[in-house]
Amino acid sequence: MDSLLSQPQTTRMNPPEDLRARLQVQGGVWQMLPDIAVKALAMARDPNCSIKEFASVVERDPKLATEILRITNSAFYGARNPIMNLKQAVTRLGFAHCRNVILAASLGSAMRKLKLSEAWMQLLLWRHSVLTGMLAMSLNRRFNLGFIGEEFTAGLIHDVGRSLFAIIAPEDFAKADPLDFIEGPGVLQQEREILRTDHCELGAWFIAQNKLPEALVEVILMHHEPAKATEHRKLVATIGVADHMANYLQSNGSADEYDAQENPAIEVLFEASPGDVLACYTEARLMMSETMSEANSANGPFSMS
Amino acid sequence: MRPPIRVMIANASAVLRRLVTEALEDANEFEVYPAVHGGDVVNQLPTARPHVLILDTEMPVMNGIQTVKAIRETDSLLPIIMLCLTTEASLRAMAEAIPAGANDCAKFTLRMGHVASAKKHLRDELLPKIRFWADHRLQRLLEAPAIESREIVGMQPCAVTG
Repeated sequence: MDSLLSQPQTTRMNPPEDLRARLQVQGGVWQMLPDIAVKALAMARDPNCSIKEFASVVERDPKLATEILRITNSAFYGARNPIMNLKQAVTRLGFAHCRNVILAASLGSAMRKLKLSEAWMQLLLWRHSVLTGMLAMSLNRRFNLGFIGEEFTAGLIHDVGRSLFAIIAPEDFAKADPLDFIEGPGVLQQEREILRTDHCELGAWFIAQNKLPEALVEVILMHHEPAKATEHRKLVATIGVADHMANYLQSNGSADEYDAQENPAIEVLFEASPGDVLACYTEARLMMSETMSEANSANGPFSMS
Repeated sequence: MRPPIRVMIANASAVLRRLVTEALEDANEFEVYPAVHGGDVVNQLPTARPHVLILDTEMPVMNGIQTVKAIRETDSLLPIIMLCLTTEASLRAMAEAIPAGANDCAKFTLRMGHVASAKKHLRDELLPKIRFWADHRLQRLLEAPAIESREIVGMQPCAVTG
């Protein structure tokens, strides 16, 4: 399996040197994150970190702490009784979901520091990432896929390459990607022609450089071709399904005429994780409508303020 | 020459506020005032004295529909123009906006492409509606007295963050 996974990494994860250099100078999304968020993300990955220690770091950033409480208390996370303090919130969410919340809250607030043209690009991409992450969570819940939060992180980060393009080469990115969320088969080719690499390759290289889990690298690299995924095929296919649904919602405004039969990743997902594929086809519109409604809500867990 | 029309944009998203503000300012006929939610609108009414409110239907504290209702219930004759900005997914909100007292609705979508086309979309959607209502109500708008926020039904001036 390792050899299969290393194949695309060695052949595809080789973005042009000048783009790499720009990323190192401009730093991309990670340098836009507040220091406390970066520290909290590292702690959430540490198996020896206690809830008390974690909460004590997060509460130093009142905005981050407020966001965690707000999200924990949202219907999306199944809140029944209000959670009033951070330790309770972390206990309820668990570290995996806290990591998601911190990423979501931090990336969302980082957009406000940008020029309008850049902030707008990031907003649309951010919206797409959140929708994909939420749909991945819904798929996981409905079809018992067995993920424990990584599906949301993967959805949130699957298009990080597009966000990086928007930061390091905004003019070329605007030519390559009309941000209409109609992703035809030529979308990656168009990026390669204009930017000399595609967002999958750039994003996967960047995430690998930042030593994030290999599963995320494979998701980013293969989410347009889940049938070719290897080690983390189920996760890649889940994101492929969610990505297709999110694109449809963003390009059409609603799920009313969505045809799940046209989502090629569904077949891959249910090969990787046997389950009720027919239910997925029949319930797709409902799942998408509910997610869209939650994402649009001003009090939703990831509203874009 | 017509004096500038004062437009208040209420939207919880800082990026969307900036986008709508720039889209309108590019037309050189508006003074634009931002607000982060309906409560903020109410707070600012006496000082900004907007002629036109553009209210997102999804906002914390007080959404667009609630704001429209509160202002109309306070003074049904106030000539202020209220447009609700809503996504296509919020059809229910569109159906509620006019009965609540909004003059019109404007559709908003997140598939507007890059910033230049997004601004154009917003100008195409908003400008004809603002101009139509302003042309019909200009004199009354210019003569209208300021409304005191404490007069708004069911609304106390509130703290604003964001």
